[in-house]
Amino acid sequence: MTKWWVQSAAAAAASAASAAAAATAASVGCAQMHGQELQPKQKPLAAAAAAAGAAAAAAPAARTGYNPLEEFFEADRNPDEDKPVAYGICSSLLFRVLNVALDLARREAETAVRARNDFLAVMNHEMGTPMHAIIAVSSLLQETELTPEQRLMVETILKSSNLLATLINDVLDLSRLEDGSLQLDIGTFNLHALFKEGLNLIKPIASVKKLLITLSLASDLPEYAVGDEKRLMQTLLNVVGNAVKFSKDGSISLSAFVAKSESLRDPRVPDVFPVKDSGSGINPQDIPKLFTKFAQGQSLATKNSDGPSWTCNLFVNLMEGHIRIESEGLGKGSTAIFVVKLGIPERSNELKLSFVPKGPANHGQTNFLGLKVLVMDDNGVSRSITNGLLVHLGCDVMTVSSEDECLRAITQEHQVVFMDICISGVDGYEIAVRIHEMFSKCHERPLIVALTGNTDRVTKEHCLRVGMDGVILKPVSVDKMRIVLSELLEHRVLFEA
Amino acid sequence: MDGIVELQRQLVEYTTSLYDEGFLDDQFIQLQQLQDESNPDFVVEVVSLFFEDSQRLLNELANSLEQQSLDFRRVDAHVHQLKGSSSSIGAQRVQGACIMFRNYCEVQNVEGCLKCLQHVKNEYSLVKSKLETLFKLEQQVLAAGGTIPMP
Repeated sequence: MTKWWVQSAAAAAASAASAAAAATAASVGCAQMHGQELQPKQKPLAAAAAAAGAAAAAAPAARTGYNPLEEFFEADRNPDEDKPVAYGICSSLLFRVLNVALDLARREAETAVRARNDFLAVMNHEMGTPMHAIIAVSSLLQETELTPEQRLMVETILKSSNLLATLINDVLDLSRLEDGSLQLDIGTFNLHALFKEGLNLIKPIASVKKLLITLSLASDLPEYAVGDEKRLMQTLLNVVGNAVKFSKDGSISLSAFVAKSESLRDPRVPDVFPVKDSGSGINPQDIPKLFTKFAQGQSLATKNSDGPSWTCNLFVNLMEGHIRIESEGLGKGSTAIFVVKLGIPERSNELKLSFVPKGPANHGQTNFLGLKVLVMDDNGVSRSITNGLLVHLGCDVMTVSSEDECLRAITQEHQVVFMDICISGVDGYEIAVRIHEMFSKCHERPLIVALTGNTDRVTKEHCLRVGMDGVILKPVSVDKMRIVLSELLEHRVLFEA
Repeated sequence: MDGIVELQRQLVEYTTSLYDEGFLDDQFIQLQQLQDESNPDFVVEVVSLFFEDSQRLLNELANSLEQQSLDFRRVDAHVHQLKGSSSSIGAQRVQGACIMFRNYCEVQNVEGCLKCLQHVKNEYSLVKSKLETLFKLEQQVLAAGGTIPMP
């Protein structure tokens, strides 16, 4: 037991060390920029980036200075740790002492695990904050006029920062993975857009190495999918990043398609993403070792730099898939293939309102009796109409006229929040994000539905991205609202076609 | 009895003309559907709210357009509100006038905006008097002991 968690603490320390190295690289890059001939606009940006870089480099050093695990390390430096504490004479008294010692050790281990997790969370936050500043400011710097030399430096800063970001996230996920509490964040997202964005993130690094990257998406690849967007992106970036790392020249091709074999029986379709690179290739004998967590005889430092991170492997497993790498040998490049199972957003949720029979309004039907609803609309007339509509259907309605009021009034008892997003000056999108933050567990969160004057693609995608559960086109009739409410409560999602 | 039927006929004829001439659209019908025993004055209440709101917005607009340094974004915001409320109650012609107004705001055409304001004001007073007449006719039918025919 102790070996396991000494190793994971060592992993944390190793990650901290590489994080520090990356932070130093970023900080050096920033300092170099600062020394350059800069335009007045650029100087404060570079100074800010340098300061943030220094802070990021200092954070891990400060943290690794304080090691709550030190005591435990001391104990473990005893080479006889595997053997019982006392051997030779056995007596009941000694057994009692042994039990107490074991109990103490167990409690210390638990405390240390908690301390480690807290430590990781704090480190993640402390390093994340200045790092985000570096990324944001460097991106801004990229938008200004730069000489080719300066542009290269800024790209280096961004490249290091992005890798650092991945590392930081991996370290935090480490603790959650080990106590098995890591859960996927499932949501509907645009699969095509995810690939294009991933490609755009890797492009600067690839172009610095003069590598050609191409992306091909199969025609039957669904546009929207259901899964953990963030972790899928992380996995993608990791795999493609490795391809870039190990290729000195040539090209990298990324393709995505739907695996055919099991799709007929299974409503959730596996999507396959092979990444081919023309890199140095891998000795086929080494391949099986790339994914195991701790191979024997290999130090952790090289483990993390060789293949796809093992956290990615775990994510892919959580998504009921697998990763494999094929290579024809040294010098012939390699292909990394990862397969994940994603869901398809159910078609029945695309409401085809043209099929709704226009019968006489049924005043009596109110199966939404007592449904607690919050309506946000800053237009008095439209607000009282939406209110009247929902009251007519039996709902328990509260109305608010501003974002602030909405955030103050919303509770987990509210099952649906209707927000009017064609209000000029009020950003209905921002508030959806805030609501998500307020309610971290999905099943407690009120459903968020946008009422808008137009349901074009851009609006719909924006709504999806900020985590809205539905988009409805105004004006809303009584019949339509009735259907909308029942669809929402049944499927928890509704995007009007 | 004849009196009620006659009043009801007048009401229906008047209502139909409002739809035919584009003063009102389907949204107004939706509003009427929300009126029931637990909410018997819903339509009148919402329409009164619309009258108050619109008057206020029109005054604001007149003010803003008289300023030396015209803030088109402010003007547009007011028109947007008016467009929203008029469309929610089904005041179709007012809504249309607002849409035109916003176009002129976007290209920052002062002349155009002033003309549009006049147009919106006209449409608003027209629909206001029409709705007031409609409510009066409804009251007469109710007072005579009849019920309001649903569309």
